[in-house]
Parts: sequence; structure tokens; C-alpha cells
Amino acid sequence: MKPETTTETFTFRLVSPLGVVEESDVSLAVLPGSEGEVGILKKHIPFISDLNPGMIQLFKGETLHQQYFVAEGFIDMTGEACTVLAEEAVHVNDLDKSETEEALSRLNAQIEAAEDELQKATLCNDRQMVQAKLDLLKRLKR
Amino acid sequence: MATLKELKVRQKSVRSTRKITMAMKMIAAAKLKKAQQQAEALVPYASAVAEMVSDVLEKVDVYEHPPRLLLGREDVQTHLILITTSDRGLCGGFNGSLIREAERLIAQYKAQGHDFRLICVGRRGYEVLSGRYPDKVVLNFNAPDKPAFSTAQKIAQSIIEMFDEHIIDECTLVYNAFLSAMLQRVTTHKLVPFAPDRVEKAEETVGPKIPYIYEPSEEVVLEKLLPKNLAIQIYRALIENSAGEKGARMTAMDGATRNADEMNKKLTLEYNRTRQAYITKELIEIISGAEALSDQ
Repeated sequence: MKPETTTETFTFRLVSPLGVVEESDVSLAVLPGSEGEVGILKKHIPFISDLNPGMIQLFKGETLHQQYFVAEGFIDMTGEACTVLAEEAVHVNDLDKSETEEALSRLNAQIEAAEDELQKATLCNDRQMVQAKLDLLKRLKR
Repeated sequence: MATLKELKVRQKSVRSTRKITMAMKMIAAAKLKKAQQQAEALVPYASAVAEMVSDVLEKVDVYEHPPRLLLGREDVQTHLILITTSDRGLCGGFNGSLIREAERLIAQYKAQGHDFRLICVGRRGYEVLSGRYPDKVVLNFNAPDKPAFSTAQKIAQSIIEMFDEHIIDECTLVYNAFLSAMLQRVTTHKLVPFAPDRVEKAEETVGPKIPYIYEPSEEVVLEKLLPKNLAIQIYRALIENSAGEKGARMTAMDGATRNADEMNKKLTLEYNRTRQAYITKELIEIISGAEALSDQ
């Protein structure tokens, strides 16, 4: 998605259970909403959405500022500020292909071995996240 | 007066107790550091979730079908108290003050003619409360050193189930808020209906209430967001409680170590005095014996 040319910025916050990952003024945030990608500019109407696992892109003016991988969560745009709550948030540069693949095969083995239904469900959920990470890496061709 | 041997034995036991309390203090301090980091890291996320829910709540009167989990029921019959304590003792008044607070709530509900149920996290609280109200405790969990998010999820899930089945109409959380290593505050927090009191609002938004746009839909988002918020708030309480427990244990064990030091000092003094008294006595005996002989 090409950024619109705008200099107006708003506060963007990305928060995960491990702390505040990113807090900065950006002019455009492209987020993986559950109904497809959403681009958020300043003065967006109050908006709440599910977050799908995928990539967040933050733009300052026309330059790409940061890119993050996020797992499940929520988007909360209040009109003044945008907060993204993600269960996991990793900077794209910190993603590692071999590590992710390892995690995937480990999870697969765990799912095979799991007996408890609830445990299996959580593991499957985790696998989805890891799969999304891999897909993202493929998209970035790394 | 105690004999020298008795004093020696007591001194030894005080010293070995001191060794134990000292070790416990160090262990608690080491664990506290980790738990504190975890608790502090979670705060922004937990408050952001709560803030989001309170944003939703603010615009709630424009909804046609407000979610019950958010607003609560009008006719409240049964309260649920979720109390978090620790598994082990030796942490000062940490568990006692929590149990007292729960008792206060129970008395209040009884005075109102309402029923109550209990969910206990941590063996200490469970042992006391299940003894007093054996048929009221519906669930109990252990309180490990590192609380797992899955425990919070399980608790949240059973709260929602009980709420949907009209077994409970309200839920209150009793835990120790972690203020600093030395200070924990017993806190009660309404989980159902949602109470935004833990969130400091930056500024009041003025102007007309613009309803949120929900994607995919209000129901779907709230259905995910509310249980999530519940689980996160419970998780936060578990983590803060666990950090608080370590802090309380550290403080209690520090006090115990200091008391042991003081006791040891007193016993040493007493021992030395007694020893000196014995020597003096023996000397007097020898001298008077010698004098008696030389007189002859």
C-alpha cells in the first residue's frame, strides 16, 4: 500500500504483554485488520477492530519508519491516537527464519503428543501464529 | 539462671534460624527482581486493554444491546470473590490481610442478604476459606512462582461460564497490588461489571459521543475483547500478587534476621556474664580454700 502524502501525524502505540514496543508520531499506519489491511491516517473515525497475525507498517511522511510482526490482538483508534494491542510484537529485523521453522516443527510435535483438548487448541493457535510469521518472512523474501 | 550449656544450645538454635531466614530473604530478593520486571512490563498492556474497554463503555448508551459482562446485571443475587494469596507462608501479614478483606466483603454481602461464591488462588487462602465456607469455594488453584497466563485464562473462562449460567451476577477480585518491594496494598477490583477505576484518564473528551466503528462487528469484537480483558486483569493480579508475595517475604525475613541478630547478641551477653560469674565463683572457692589452708 502506497502512503498518501500527508505531513499530519498522530500518536501510535504498539503494546504487548512484554511492554511498550513502539510509541511514536507517525503519519500513516498500515495494520492487518481482521477484514483486510487498514490504513490509518490522522483523524480517522473512532475504530475498533480485531488484529490478524501479520505485518504492521509505520510511515513518517513518505518514508517507511518501522515494520513489525504482530500476533493476534486489537486495534483501538480513538480519533486522536491509535493503540495496537498485540499478544506478540516483534520487529521484522528480529525475525529469524531457521528459528521460526524450528518453532513450527516443535509445535507440530507437541500437538501430536497433546492429549488435553484445551491444550491442543492453544497449541494449534500458537502454530497459526508461527505460520503467519513464516508467511511474512516469505513475503519479505528472507 | 540458665546453665552455660543451656545458653549454648539456645544460641546455636538462634544462629541456625538466622541462617535460614537470611537465605530465605536472599532467595526472595532474587525472585522478586524477576517478578517485579514481569509485573512492570505487563502494566502498559493491561492498562491499554482496560482503557480500550472503558472507551467502549463511555459510548455505551448508544448501544441497543449492551453486553452484560461489561455493564453487569441489575438484579444482583450472588457475588463471586476471586481471592489471590500465596502458596507458602512466612511472608508476614501478606495473606492475613487478604483473607480479612475477603471476610469483610462476605460480611457485607451477607448483610445485604446476598449469596456469595469463592475462587481461591494460592493454598493459604484456600485452606482458611474452605475451612470456614466449605460449600462456597467453587474452584481453587495453586499460586506458583511464575503465574501462567493459561491459569488466568482458565479462571476467566469459568467466571464467564458461571456468569452466563446465572450462578453469579458479579465478580470482585481481591489481591495485593504491588506498589514497591516494601509495600503492597490490599486492593479490591470489580471485574464484572467492568470498573475502569484503575485507568487514569488523561483528559475528558468533550463533544458528542461518536460511536465506534467495529470490524467485523460489535458483537464479534466485544465477544473477544471482554474475555481478553478479564483474563488480562486476572493475570495482572496474579503477577502483581506473586511479586508482592516475594516482597513481603523479603521484608518479613529481613525483620526475622534482624531479630535473630538481636537475640543472638543478648544471648552472647548473657552467656559471657554467666561464664564470668562461674569463673568468679570458682576463684572465690579456690582462694577461700587456700586461705583456709594457710590459716592452719
